[in-house]
Amino acid sequence: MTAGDESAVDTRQPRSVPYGSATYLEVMAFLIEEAAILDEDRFHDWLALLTPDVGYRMPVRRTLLRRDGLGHEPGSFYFEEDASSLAVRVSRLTDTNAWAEDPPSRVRRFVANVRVIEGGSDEVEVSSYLLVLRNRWSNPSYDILTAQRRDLLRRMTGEWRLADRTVHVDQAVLGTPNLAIFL
Amino acid sequence: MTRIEEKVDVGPILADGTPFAELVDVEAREVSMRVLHDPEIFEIELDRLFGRAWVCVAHASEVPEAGNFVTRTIGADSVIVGRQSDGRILVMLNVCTHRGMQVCRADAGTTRRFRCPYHGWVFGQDGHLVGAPFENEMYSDGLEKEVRGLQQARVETFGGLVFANWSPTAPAFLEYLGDSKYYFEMMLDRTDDGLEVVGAPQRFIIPANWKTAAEQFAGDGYHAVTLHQSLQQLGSAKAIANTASTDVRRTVNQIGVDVSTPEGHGFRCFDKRFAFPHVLTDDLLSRPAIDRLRLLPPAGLTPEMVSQMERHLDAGQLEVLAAVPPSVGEFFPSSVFMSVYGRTAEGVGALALHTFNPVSADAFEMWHWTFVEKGAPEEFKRKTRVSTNFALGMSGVIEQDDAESWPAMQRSARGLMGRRHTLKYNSLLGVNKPEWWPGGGFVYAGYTKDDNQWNWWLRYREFMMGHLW
Repeated sequence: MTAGDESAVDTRQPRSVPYGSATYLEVMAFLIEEAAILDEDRFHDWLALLTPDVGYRMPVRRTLLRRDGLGHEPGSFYFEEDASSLAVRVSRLTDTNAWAEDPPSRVRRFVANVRVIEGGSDEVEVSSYLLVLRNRWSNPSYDILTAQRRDLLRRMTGEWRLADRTVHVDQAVLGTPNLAIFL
Repeated sequence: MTRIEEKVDVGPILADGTPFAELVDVEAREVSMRVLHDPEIFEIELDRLFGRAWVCVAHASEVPEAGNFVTRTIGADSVIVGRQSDGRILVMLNVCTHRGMQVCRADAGTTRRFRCPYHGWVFGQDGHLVGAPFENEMYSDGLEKEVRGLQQARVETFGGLVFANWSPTAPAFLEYLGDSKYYFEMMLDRTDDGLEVVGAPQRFIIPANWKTAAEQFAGDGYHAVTLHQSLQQLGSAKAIANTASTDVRRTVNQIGVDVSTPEGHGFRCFDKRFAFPHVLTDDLLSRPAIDRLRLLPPAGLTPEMVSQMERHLDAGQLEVLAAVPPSVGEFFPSSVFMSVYGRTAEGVGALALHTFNPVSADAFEMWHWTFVEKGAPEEFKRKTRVSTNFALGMSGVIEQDDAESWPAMQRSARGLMGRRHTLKYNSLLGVNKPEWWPGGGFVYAGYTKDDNQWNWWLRYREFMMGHLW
């Protein structure tokens, strides 16, 4: 039986990149801009934010007893992607017959609690909280997803890019019928 | 549930006086959409279907060691699936026999006993009542431990899958499977080491009745042309795009053999000649089955692993796998195993199990497990896992769109006129089993039609009418 992935729990404190420093503000700006790009359905602009070797994954979460960890499953995923699979997903979503997101959901991504855990001027490890509100059809309520994202951002030709992302979701049972959206 | 008035020929009489038998109209081959929406029907299903059918709850590889458990659901009930020290797997109702609290509150773990947090009654790994706090003071006349263990379901495993049944009078699992056993063996039981599950399953809520998914997976090939049209534009169809006309491209996966058996199980088998003409060229079709299988191995197998199949399957099964393999196989009522082929010998395909667990008339919880062949090389397993989740499950580019159609049907069933509407199953191929076909059941060869799904509804009707055990 696999216990929870303890490595998913990061208790390190921000060290080399203090809150409010120039790098911290650049990271904040990157995450805020990225959320806007996704919320505005600008998929190709989003792909341009990714490094060619990007890794993108979202592990399954389970309810476990405290002694067994936080329940982030190390080997099973909702997403396990690279640059080319993300590009194929975008090419499908922007096609005329991708019914899952056409008409598109109205999605609002709120990014908060940003911590730059580690890094220097060209590569940083970032933790952020994500609140996703997804609204569809005439439904007056929202599908809600919350997660902690662990990102690796890399500076390429002067611009920050996303080099790696793990989305640690908080629900053991997700309350939305599909993941035709990116987190 | 309230006691339902009953008549022999028409089944339960619903609150407004409608006899259930009218809702699945055998003559017209139509099903009232009321069955998707009516909470009274949902309650009857919990009793007559989920209380009597064999329901898939786990794969044995999820609980490999003694003491391992996972919690699952049968109908609306929580159950514990636990591995015993003698290797057996037991399925027990997760309800304390004292005051009804759940004795196990984790999705998975390892334990020698389950202790109810409410009053402290303790149950063994096998569910027997070990004891209660202050037993002498509380139960000076005796606790009758032997009759107060956790309620046990009947359990059988097949191809590593664990099935449970509450009914003492239901037939044994292999009898319940009938002629479908032959086909499921090709999907689940092909190699020396067998299948193993990749970690914990995905779980998500679909705001639709569970039957919208269950009847589709019983054999709906027709929907792929339109609902999954976006896939035709993707790389999956690229290989044949240059050689085939648009009509052929749009129908390659519609041609094959549908099979269903009287027990309600159903299979969609794709004809490889149409689906993979770029690999199985005409000059190769006369080659022995095992050679053709090496050119295009079933999902999860490398070409090197193909020879193992000769030890596990008979010649007829090998020929079916080489020519028209089952790719979607549904266990009635609510579980489906999928073995989707890669497009080339190097393509890894997708291997998955889904269950459609009823929550209410208006919602079900979908579970999605990814599988690999245990004996495959590690890198090949990783590719199989990635490829499976790319195509199937919550983010799968195929199944994203299915999750759009089911809730939309549900919204329709909410309307007064909508629920009086019917689902139509009028396009029938009729049994036309090819001479060479070695398997049993109702065999429909050609362009996939409504036969399989209609058989699913007939079996559903039998359960709901109360004609079965």
